[in-house]
Amino acid sequence: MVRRLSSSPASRGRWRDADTHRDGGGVLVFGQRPLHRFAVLLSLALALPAHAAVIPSAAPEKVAITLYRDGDGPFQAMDDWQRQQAKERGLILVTETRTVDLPAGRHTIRFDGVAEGLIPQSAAVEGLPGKAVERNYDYALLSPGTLVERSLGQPIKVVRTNRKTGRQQAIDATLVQGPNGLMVQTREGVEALGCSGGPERLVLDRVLDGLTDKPSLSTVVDVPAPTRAKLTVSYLALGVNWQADYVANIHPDGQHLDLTGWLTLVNSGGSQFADAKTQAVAGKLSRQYVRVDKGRARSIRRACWPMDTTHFGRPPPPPAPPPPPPPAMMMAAPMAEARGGVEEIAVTAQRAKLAEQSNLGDYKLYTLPEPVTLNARQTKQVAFLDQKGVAFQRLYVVALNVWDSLDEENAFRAPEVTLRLENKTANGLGKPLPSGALSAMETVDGRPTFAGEQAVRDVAIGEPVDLVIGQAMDVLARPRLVEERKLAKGRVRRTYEVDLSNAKTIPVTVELRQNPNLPTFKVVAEPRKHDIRQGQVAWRVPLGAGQTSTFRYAIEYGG
Amino acid sequence: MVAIQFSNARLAGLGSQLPAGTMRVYMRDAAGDPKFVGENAIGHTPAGSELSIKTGEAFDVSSQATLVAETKVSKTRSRYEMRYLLRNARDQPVTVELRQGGLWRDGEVKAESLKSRRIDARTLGWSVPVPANGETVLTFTVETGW
Repeated sequence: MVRRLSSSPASRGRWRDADTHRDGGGVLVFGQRPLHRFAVLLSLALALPAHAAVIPSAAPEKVAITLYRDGDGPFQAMDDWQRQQAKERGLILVTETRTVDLPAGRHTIRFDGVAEGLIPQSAAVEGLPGKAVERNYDYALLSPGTLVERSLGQPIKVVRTNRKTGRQQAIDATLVQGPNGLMVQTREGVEALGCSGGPERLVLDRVLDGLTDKPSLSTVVDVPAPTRAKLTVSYLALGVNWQADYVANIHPDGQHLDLTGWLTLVNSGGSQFADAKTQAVAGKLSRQYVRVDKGRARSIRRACWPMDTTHFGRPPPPPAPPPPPPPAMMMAAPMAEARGGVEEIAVTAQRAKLAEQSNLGDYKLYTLPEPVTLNARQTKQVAFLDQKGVAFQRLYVVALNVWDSLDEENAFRAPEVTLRLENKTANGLGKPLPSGALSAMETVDGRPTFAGEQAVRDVAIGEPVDLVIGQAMDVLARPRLVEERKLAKGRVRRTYEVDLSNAKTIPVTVELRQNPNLPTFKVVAEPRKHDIRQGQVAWRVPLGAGQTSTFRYAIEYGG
Repeated sequence: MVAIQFSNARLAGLGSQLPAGTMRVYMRDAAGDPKFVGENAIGHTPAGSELSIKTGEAFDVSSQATLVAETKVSKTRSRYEMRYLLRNARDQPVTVELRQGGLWRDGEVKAESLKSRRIDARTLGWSVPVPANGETVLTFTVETGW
């Protein structure tokens, strides 16, 4: 109790015995306190005029946003909680252009309508005519609790309604305690408001400065001469993330695909970025954990004896305020939300206009072809990649390790269907691929059919990439341990045979991958030379249509 | 990993002590607009110190490690043959600072395609030049015991 009160300097030190007073009931009497407090407030008020003038800047004229990719995996692969986290952790750089008219003197310029999730430490204001004295971020929101908190010691009115006659009576009072338990000083003494048994309410003349419906950024500045200043306000904020989403349309020849890439911009916050020049940065930035205050609404709590019925507990809470009317574009929202969290997807780009890629230091920067409006709680997609006829290799990958043959139940296994690409111009690609998700589509009877989905890491030009899109149907592998021998000094030699069959009407290539993660592992016999793929020893075995074959190899380890 | 390195010395243009906190790094993009490129924590830094701040990971430069062979030389000694493929998709040549840890007692280099230097008893270091839009392969063989 003592700590809470210390926000009002005048009362500090006077309430050390507050606990005993609280127990004493609803009405307390202190003779001279209000006068004393009044004197303190007056002296404060005299010091204020120097920078009392608050010049609000309601909204920016121009906004530019830069989205940063946060997290590794695609949103599709996350559970609800992770997805929420990923969206909230995403970083955005906002650059706003604002024009304000400034008279000479010391003023507070308040920037209203800054993005939710603003990181105050990162804010910078350029173009000020004078020296900035200080910078503030106010997140005290207009609410009953904050109103009372800021009105402590101020004259207010208490309106009492007579239950029988309905007549209202306004009484001049001074607020002496709140918002946890309201206490007012009236002519009759100090009373606990709302504890008298009759209906009472508090009436204030006006909303105090510094309380807004949204957090605001402000700066105190010395202006030497009246001027119209064009200011650039830039800051980092949390709550907007993005990823790349690819669609690979596999040609009927099975060797080429068309790759389309979309930048998926996800705004999980409540801020709208209207007509903003938009860019997205691909790559991994190092980040420091930061906590942001999105503003806090406080309620008033009364601390008197229960006046409602006691045996049904508390009265039901008041009905929730109606949701704000959705913007015109958000009509599809409820349906999409029911499907699992993606609020809305607005597809804005046409094939012809792609986001342009440039370099930003060691990252990739994508600039959208024209300004877009990113609404609150909106997902927006813009194309950035459209490559036709990208050469790829389709492989059927079988993972093998030394314990395989012990698992009789799963003797036969379906290989993983893997698309292997080399990100090179010669193969029809040669473009940086930012991380995200890829869905593969195959053409079946002339119609595109979904054939699997996979996460994609950041892929630079020249790098190989394997995309696992699903399990094969007609290709099977069965590894068998056919010989195990103990050599000298604890070394073991194992010989395996892998039965392979292809029931397809086309030839396929199977890739066998043996896990080499054993001490002093060595391949000692193999029908063809291996290479290393994804950290595994790999052999590629061609199989004709309807063909079966056996692949025999031996390894040694241990000792 | 990408880091910026600078000296907090007066001659280098700074020369004042920096209390601990978060340092955010910005750079201008091709259009001249400042862009955030990463942040990291710094400790209390006296004037005149060297600072190295990791800002992020490079998109275009990567390394791929392969343990080519592992053989036992004696009861307490093993030989490792390593191969590193370093790729650079940037328009400029880069130098990759490669560190190989994990050396144990009597660790020694048997063969290497590029001269190494000893960072400490357990670590070897290479400065590997990688041409623009190209790759460099570094191979070496080390022996170490316990």
